Amino acid sequence: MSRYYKVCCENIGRPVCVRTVDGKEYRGFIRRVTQTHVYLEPIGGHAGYGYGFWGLGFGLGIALGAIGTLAFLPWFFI
Amino acid sequence: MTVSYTDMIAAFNIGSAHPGGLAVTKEMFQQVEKHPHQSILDVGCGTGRTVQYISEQTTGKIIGIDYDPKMITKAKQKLANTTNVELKTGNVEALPIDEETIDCIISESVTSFAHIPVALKEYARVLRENGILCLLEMTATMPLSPEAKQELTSFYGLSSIYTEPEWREAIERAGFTLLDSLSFAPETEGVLDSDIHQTIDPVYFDIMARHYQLTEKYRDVLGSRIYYCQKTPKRIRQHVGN
Ligand SMILES: C[S@@+](CC[C@H](N)C(=O)[O-])C[C@H]1O[C@@H](n2cnc3c(N)ncnc32)[C@H](O)[C@@H]1O
Repeated sequence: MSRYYKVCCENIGRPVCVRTVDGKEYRGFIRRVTQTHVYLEPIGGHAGYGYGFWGLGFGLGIALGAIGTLAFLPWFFI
Repeated sequence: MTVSYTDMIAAFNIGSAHPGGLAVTKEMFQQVEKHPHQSILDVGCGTGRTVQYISEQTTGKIIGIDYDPKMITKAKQKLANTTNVELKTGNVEALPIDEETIDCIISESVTSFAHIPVALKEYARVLRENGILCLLEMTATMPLSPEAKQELTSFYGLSSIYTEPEWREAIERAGFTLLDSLSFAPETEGVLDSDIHQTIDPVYFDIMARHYQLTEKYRDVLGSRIYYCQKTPKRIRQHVGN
């Protein structure tokens, strides 16, 4: 299983920047994680298709196996 | 259904929904402990994380008040097994608390949502002489343009966004001495304290994403500060003509 599975599960609700192995970039809040995909609520427009798809009302799906890097974005509540 | 930023916090059951998160609450409470704190009031307590933290630190009595019944329900669930805590609904502009009965008030991202001068006057009313008020509040780092103010206040449901001098003036006018005013980094570190699951309506995720976009857009002008205030003794208040 992808090493990103655990990271994503532990950080539901946090904003991340995911770069896929083929160089696409996605920014969003982690909404849901399955054995194979992470689903993001996109922040500010989401260009590009590639590995990302709109999954069953769970946001933008990215295959865990396609993740090259995953970085947490700084943010705060008001 | 229109859903507000605060509704999103309730739906996700977010703890520490203020700049700096629980880390800043801990720092603030170290300052509180230097003063009498047998009765502590957390105004706009939200889902109750701060009340819970304080109840672990002290044997004093803690009261949490929020005007949103959803918040009080969540806080009650979180604090079901705690004995020194009382949680109830109420508005900070007309607190359901007797005069001069509280040693310390904590307001974390709450007072900006209410009519600020009215809320500050209420805090002064319920505090004992020399009582402490800790305000952890969003503060504009420079005067905002009318458009920026409008966009931020309408999205968050804020009554206004003060600059530091505006806070200072309002605090003093309400009968407090400002002991200290500190700015801090608003970012929340680490795992998110929340209860997010798949069945939550997508509309709340949308609000979360819009919130992020706004804070990014206004990053340079949205600061956060803690104001440590002390209720000025009556004889001095009268002397300066308040
Ligand atoms: C940003 S949240 C902060 C919650 C909590 N203090 C925390 O740090 O997690 C703002 C809270 O203030 C409450 N609130 C806003 N205006 C209020 C008022 N006039 N009287 C009482 N509570 C209020 C909201 O219901 C909400 O729970």
